[in-house]
Amino acid sequence: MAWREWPLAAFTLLGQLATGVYLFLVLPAVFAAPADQAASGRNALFYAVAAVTALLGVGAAASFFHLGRPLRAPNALANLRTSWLSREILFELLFMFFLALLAVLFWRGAAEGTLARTVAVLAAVCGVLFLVSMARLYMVPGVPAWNRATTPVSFLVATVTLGTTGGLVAGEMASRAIGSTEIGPGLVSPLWLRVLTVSAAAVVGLRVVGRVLLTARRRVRGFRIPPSLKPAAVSSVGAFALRLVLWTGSGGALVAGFRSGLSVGPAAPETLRLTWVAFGLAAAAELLTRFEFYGLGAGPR
Amino acid sequence: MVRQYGFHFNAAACSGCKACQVACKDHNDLTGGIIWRRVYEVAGGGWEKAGGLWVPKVAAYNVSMACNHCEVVVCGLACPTKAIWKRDDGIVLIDDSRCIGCRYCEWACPYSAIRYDAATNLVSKCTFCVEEIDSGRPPACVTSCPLRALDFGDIDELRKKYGQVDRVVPLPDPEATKPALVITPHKDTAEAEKRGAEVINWEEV
Repeated sequence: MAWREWPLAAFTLLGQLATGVYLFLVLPAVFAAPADQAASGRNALFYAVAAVTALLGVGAAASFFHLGRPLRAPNALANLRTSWLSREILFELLFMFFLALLAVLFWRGAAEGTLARTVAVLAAVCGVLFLVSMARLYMVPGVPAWNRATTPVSFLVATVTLGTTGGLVAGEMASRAIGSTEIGPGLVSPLWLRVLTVSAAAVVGLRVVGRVLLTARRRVRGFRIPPSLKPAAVSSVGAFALRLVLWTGSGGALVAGFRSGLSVGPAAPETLRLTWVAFGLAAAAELLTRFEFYGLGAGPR
Repeated sequence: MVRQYGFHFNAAACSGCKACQVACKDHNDLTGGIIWRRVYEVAGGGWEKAGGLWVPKVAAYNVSMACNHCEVVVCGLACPTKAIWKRDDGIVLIDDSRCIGCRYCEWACPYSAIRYDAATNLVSKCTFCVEEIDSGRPPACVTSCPLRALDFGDIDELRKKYGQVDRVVPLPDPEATKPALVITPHKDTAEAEKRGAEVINWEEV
């Protein structure tokens, strides 16, 4: 575990959470917004976009604590031609710019217009490129443990897990905020929230099964990282077990939340509580996974 | 005109005295904990039964390693600020005025050549003692080696003189960076992989 890399853990996880929530909740909501949408619905969209932008902003602010010379941070955009780190920063800034523009459009009541939808798609493209750059920058020859397909796969799965569970929390809260348990005039339809619940439960379940199978395969067939002049990091069995428990708990809460949503409604207090539990457990598991990831890149101190 | 400066390291001659490491640190006035040239102690193997006798079957040698001023400058390609650049003679340097201390180059370098200095909040690495080179003198590590295990010069000349080997255990695959490095392997190198040899002095390097 590399606890000292907390600024990077915060930056990457908040970035993945924000992009996931945008892709799985906000973007579908923009396209589902009816032309005669009530003002409350437009407000819900505005607050959702503002929340995604704020998450990205907090992550970006945390990343400054990683820099030795934070006042020189603008220099980070100087090498777009070859550096994935420069590209990551550029796409994050563009993503935030389009989100801010979208928020202004929603504030002015233009949620259903072609312009809003165009800006929403541009924001989504920048968000995806931000995620691609984020995963790609860790695939460097200096850290063989990162320079493998597992890095983009684990980043993608983290985005889907955090995006769907976080999207559920945001969607249900938005519906409650505008005083509707039916969610019709809110962000998205109850059907979409159920699709999100099932998707989140499936991803969390696949993650548990995938980790167990991968670990078993490495135990049976052996696993050797290529030679390196960096000391090999040791994965903690306790942390691995804890992550499995957290993911399983999150999956259980999602299943219970789905059943609760069917019986008392997707935005009912009982359902929302279970959704929060599912999101909290999944986020804790992702946090542990990310600190372990940075530990694998253990370099000289 | 030198196209690309490089180092030659003779693992067969190196005794692991670390004079190169100390000379580098002294010459460049490096602060505590920062070492640009490091001597890795590599060892593996154990006792094996041969007939009725238990005999030691080990692989043990040293690898002295600094920045290899690679032909493919992966640290510079990764650097978001263009702070890492290559001179016409192949020496790779860091522009302190551009560095933001993000440490991405530290991850990118497979030779662990780049080190973060907490005193300056910047990264640093071997400069090939560039002021000495410009004055026509050899780098400090080369002059300090009592066993003449280190040499330097144009990499094409070094390859003609010492051969083409640029990798021994535990060095990474040279394909990614094409290091300006030639190694004369120790006799145990051939058995190193088989005997599971690995670095045994991580605390020092």
